[in-house]
Amino acid sequence: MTAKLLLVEDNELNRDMLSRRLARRGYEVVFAQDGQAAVDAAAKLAPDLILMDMSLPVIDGWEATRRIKADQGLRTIPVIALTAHAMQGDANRALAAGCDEFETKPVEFERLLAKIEQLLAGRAR
Amino acid sequence: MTAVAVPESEARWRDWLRRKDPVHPTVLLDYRLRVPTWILGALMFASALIARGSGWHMLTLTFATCIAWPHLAWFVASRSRNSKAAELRNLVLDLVLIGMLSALTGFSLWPTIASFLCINAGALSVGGWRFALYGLLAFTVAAAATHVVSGVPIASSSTVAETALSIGVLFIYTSMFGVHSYLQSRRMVAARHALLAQNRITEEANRAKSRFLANMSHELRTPLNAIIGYSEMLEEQATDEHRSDLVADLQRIRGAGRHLLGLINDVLDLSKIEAGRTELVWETVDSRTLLDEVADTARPLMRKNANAFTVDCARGVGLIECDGVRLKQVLLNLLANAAKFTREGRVRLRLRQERAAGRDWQLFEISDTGIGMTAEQMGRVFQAFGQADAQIGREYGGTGLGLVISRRLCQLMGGDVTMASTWGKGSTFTVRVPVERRAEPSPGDAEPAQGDAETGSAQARHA
Repeated sequence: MTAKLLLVEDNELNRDMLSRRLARRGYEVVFAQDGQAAVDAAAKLAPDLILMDMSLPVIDGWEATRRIKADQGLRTIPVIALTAHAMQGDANRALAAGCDEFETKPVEFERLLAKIEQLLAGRAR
Repeated sequence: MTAVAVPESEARWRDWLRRKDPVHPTVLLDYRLRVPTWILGALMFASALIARGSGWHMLTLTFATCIAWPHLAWFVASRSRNSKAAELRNLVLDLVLIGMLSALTGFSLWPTIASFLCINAGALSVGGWRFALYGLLAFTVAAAATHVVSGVPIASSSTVAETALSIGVLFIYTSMFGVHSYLQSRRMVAARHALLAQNRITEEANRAKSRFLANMSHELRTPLNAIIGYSEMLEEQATDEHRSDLVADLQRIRGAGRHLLGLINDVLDLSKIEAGRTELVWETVDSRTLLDEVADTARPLMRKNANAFTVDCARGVGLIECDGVRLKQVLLNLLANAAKFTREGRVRLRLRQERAAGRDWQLFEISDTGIGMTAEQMGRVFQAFGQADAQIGREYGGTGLGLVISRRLCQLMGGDVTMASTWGKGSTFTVRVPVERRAEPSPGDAEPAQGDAETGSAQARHA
């Protein structure tokens, strides 16, 4: 069974690039473009894992994560925060908001894949 | 920002402040005080001398002295390189002159008291109490000497004319003195307001600059993400399709993109440090743990060039008050440099503690057996973009800012980074950080930095 990843990213190029690379590695990728859409998509599409950009329109990634983690039905979905580099505080805020992992942008793709696989494996157990 | 209206007198005051080699303000002030008071003083002493039957030559000499002296004093002091010292000499001469004149009048009470009180006040205001004591001595010696030499008998009672003129001198002098003191306090208040307003403008400009830099670097990084990401993706595809001709070029694009990203990050870091907007997060850290963590991160770097890597820690080295994240950043940067410039050699990380200048310091020493540096290269190594030479930059990569940033961060923590190197033999970088933080807070702690896109970071790291 292929894992379904929800990619939340408002920048079109980054969304396209990341989703195609993930698809090449055999993941099914669904999208949301803002924080609110991410919370809705998490409920409707039941992804196995969420990749969440932090600076998003409508509601930001931190708030979206808090809402997902506050929901009984959704809280078990692992969330990886994608934060801007050099903003060390962003990563800690992301973890404080309930994210399970973070990766700084531009993503080190192999490292991101390792984190995805680790979290998915943890969830399968 | 509100502009501050500056009255003309304040403007002149500022002009004075801007002059390269200004005449001390008391020189001009004393000149303005001397001219009218010495004219009135001449009349005062003359009336006392007439009352005691002095001859016309004595009167002429007194008048000539009293009228010429203020201009002479101004002339000498305003042309002197150290005008304050010249003015102090003038005040001593003032006191000597009135000492002599008082003795010649037989110490007529009113003129003696009036002239001494005026100049004593001047001496106190310019030179302080110790100087005023010297002035009193000068006055006494001059008066006593003149008394002995001239043989004028002491007759302290004053005529009505002497009394009236003395009161005039006292009145003019104290009034001018008071007005000056009033104006000076007003100038001080105005200068303080102007300074505060200027500070607000500067701070606001500084904040705007930081905001701009933070936003700009974010905007620069977003398209760069796409460039690096797409080139990596194409590289994967090209590798899968065995298009090795494309792979090499795509790697170049990715490499250049990563380099540019490194530059943007470093420039942002450095600008924040230079703008005083880097807020350290102080914590008490076990430096042995820190050393282990740094060593673990650095190990893969060492393997790349087949370098042997050893870490040792002197006994008794323990806790340190610092920004742990920043200190790690510094050490990793130095270790990465050592690994980069050394091939099949040795890199050593050592930690020890020593006491110097009344404080305990921890010393992290990173030494390698790499290519080393010439004396000329060493001179440039801590300058922004001063990488030993352009060829090395191309060959070994790096932005040329890492060492500058490392050094500035250490300086923020109260320490420093120093180096020693021999061309062809290797380099040693030493990071010194005080074990205990200095008592006074760093300026960054005092004020909340609003509007800086990245200030959330420091606070969040506390949480």
